[in-house]
Amino acid sequence: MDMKVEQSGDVTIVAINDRFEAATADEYRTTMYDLAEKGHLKVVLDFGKTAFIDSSALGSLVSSVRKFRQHEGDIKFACMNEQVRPLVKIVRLHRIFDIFDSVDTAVSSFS
Amino acid sequence: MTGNSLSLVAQQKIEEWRPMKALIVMDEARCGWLRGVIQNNHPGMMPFCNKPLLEYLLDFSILCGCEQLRFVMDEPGDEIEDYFDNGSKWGISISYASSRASDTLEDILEKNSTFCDEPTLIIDGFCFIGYSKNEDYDSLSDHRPEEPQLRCGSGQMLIHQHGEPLRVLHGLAESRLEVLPLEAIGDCYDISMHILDSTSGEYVLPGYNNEAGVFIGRNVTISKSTTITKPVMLGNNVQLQENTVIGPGAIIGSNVIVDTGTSIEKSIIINNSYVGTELKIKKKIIHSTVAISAETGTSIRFVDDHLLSGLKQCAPRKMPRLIVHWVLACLFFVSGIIPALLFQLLLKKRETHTILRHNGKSLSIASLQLSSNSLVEQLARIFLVDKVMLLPHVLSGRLDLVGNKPFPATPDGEKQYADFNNYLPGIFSFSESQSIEEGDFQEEIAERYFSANRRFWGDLQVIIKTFTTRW
Amino acid sequence: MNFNQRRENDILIIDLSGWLDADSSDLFQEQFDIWSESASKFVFNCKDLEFVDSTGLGSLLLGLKATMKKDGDIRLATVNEKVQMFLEITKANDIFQIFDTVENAVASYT
Repeated sequence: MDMKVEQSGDVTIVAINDRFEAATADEYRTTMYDLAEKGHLKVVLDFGKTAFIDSSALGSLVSSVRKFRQHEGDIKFACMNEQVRPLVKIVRLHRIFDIFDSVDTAVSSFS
Repeated sequence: MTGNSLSLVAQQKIEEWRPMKALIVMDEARCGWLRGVIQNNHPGMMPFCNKPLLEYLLDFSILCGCEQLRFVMDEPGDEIEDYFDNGSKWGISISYASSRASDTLEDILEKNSTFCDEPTLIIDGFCFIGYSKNEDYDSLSDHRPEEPQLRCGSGQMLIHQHGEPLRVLHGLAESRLEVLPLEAIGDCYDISMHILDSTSGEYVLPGYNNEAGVFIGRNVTISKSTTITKPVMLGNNVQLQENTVIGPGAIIGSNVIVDTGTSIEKSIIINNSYVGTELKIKKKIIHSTVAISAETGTSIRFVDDHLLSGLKQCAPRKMPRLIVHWVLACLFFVSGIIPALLFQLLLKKRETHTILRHNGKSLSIASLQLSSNSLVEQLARIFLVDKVMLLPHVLSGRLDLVGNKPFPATPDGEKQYADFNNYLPGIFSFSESQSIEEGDFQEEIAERYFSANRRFWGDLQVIIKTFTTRW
Repeated sequence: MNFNQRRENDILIIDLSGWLDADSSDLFQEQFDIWSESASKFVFNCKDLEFVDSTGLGSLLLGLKATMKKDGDIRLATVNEKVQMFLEITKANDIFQIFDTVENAVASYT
């Protein structure tokens, strides 16, 4: 799975490209863990190019959001395209995720 | 400036100000009350003269010149997306976004900033818009402080333009336009009746309307002895039996049967209802088993199905898949019943649980809780003895072979059932095959995800995985 | 389902409280047979009658039919809004006379 990480001020933007599923959820968890360790607790996940997401990936998103929030940080979601948005809605995760339609406003919402 | 260039500037000004996009925000805080009165779909789909509220808002947006529309809800309903889809039916492009319950309107604009990059008409809250399809709303976004503001107790209409603060719109002197609150069931009733009585010509309403005051849907059966007095609206698939008296002031939704001798006057019968024989429905709103007084808002629930009941459509169960599952269940049963009975004799650990079926009714099952303690129990798990014991329920059609983990028939389970649209319980469940721990939030995610993405081979994989994880 | 009774001249006033439904209608019918032995004119005080379903209504109608044969009647008083709606929808309010107060119901017999 492709994951591009870049900084914008004190906010980290992680672009998840292609498919986000059980096999690649581990990579996601490691990346999030590293970011947390380094103190980068403001993260925006860019789903603009995500083609597919499965239930275990959704589960790992939930646990990472919870952990970041417990440590005074947050993970916000941007550009959930039509492949991903219905799945988030089906599993009722829109109730706890902050979802933006642009990466820039998601980033600026941290300040 | 010459006359021509002046009008060009004026033209530009109109196009600049004309909202090209519409954002419809309906938050649970303001519309949630309706769910307690009429347990149905999302409040935005509440029918007014057999047309969902959101469709009126959509029609109005199109009338204002909007070409793109977005619905933003904090409790989005599948029925909304199913009904509106991508908007091609109305020639408008529709997208959907979700918000959190704690979001303010400013937060929502931030979350939809890419969408709101052009002048955007915003309809915020839970309200009805009184307008006319025959009027002109080009000058909607003009400043008109002398006219009343388009806002009410439960909603408002605003315009968002880059570089300017959010502004509540004002009414028009020359065109009919008002924002009406929806705060109690009486509001919905009054507005519907008013449209039926006086303003039906101002809106696009469903049904065949050859005669003023009469709207009739498709596949409507009216018996010869039925009396119809206008104004009257009938939805699709409506049956009016012998000697029924319909109207004046009757709004009947779709999939409704009105049985012999009943009279319906100044009342609304919402979709999927059965109204029994020899009843008198006057100034009421009827939905399934609930009757609500239009005057006082009091509601009563009928327990007698022959008087009032719902014609409910539960999650459709696909026949081919069910047949294959049934055949598989037979094979499992035949091959597994003897070992299963043997193990049962050895174990003697049967417990009875009550679970909820796909239609909400309770089912008592004798289940076998197998831990990994003794060798016998471990062997029993491998031979899927606990599953084989439940096969008779599959063979009788009450449970499915593969499906959701059954909810218990407790108040908690009932709440989960109400929140889960495609619930189809089975004896092999997805989350169990994934070895997800019970009670884990991942379980709910997996179950919902599974329900939405069912494939035939996926179902078989569930059975195989359950088997292999137990080995 | 509870019943209290008191008499005013030849009229039997019964205070109904609770639910008159499939579970309690048998009990009601038994009681009514007993009351009918000593009276044919009834006033049912429905102030605490919370709920009626079709079985409950059925037993009321049976009682009415029986007592009318003896030139009597069952009149209802202080019916709450929900029960009132049920009686209206089933057209039972065309069959039973309904009064605001027990006094008015009793007075109506003269």
